[in-house]
Amino acid sequence: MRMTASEGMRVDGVVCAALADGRYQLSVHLVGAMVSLRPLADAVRARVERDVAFAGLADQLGPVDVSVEDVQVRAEARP
Amino acid sequence: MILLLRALVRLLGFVLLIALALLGLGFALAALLGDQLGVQLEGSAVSSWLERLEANDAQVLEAAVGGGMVLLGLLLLIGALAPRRERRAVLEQGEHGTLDARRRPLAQMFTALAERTRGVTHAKAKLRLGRRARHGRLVLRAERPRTTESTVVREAVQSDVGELAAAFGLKTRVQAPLGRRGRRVQ
Repeated sequence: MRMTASEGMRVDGVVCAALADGRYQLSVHLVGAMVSLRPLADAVRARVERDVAFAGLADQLGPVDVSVEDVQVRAEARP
Repeated sequence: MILLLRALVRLLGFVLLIALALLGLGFALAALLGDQLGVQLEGSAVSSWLERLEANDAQVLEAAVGGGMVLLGLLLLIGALAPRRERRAVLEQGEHGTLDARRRPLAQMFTALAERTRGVTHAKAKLRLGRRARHGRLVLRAERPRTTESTVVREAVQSDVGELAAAFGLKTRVQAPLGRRGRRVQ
């Protein structure tokens, strides 16, 4: 499992790595339903950027990678 | 269960490698510092092998075998200890980050998409990813009933999955064999 320890807590599905330029790269690992991946990634990035900006760390945020780890495909009943 | 067995095999393999390395180290120490350590290799297979190594007529062969074993040991250690990097299917890569997916869920998505195609009774996707990003091959096996033409099913499946496969840079091949009895069409 990919996770990051932060202030004694464990943030599952998120890996944070320091970059050479002083910023931090985030990798968000997702388990999701079958949806369009680009809008999903855009929504995840927008949410991360919003929360980071809210915490006053916007200038320290580097690239945000989005990785699909698993997909929950809903089984459809056949007639 | 399979995951547990795989973990057990890896653990046992690692332990055996360590044991083999320690055994070799022990023999080397015994050969070099046997007198000081109170260990005698006299008359053992290792002793006779070392004697042959010291002889003039067999040095090349023995050294080649010994060197080969050292090289094999190093390769095994690299194979056991080097971290493996999982190949991932990359959808987009840019300054703002990467969007990618693991092979298995992506294959599941292609399978689900193919199974939703009209005229398909059962589908199975096999996905092989290349070393470079956005290179790979997708083979889709979409079973069909006798009443549906193979070409029709292949084109329909290609139409349904082609866009997503192309976005990941995958070359797609669709097979449409006759399905097994009892499987119903969508």
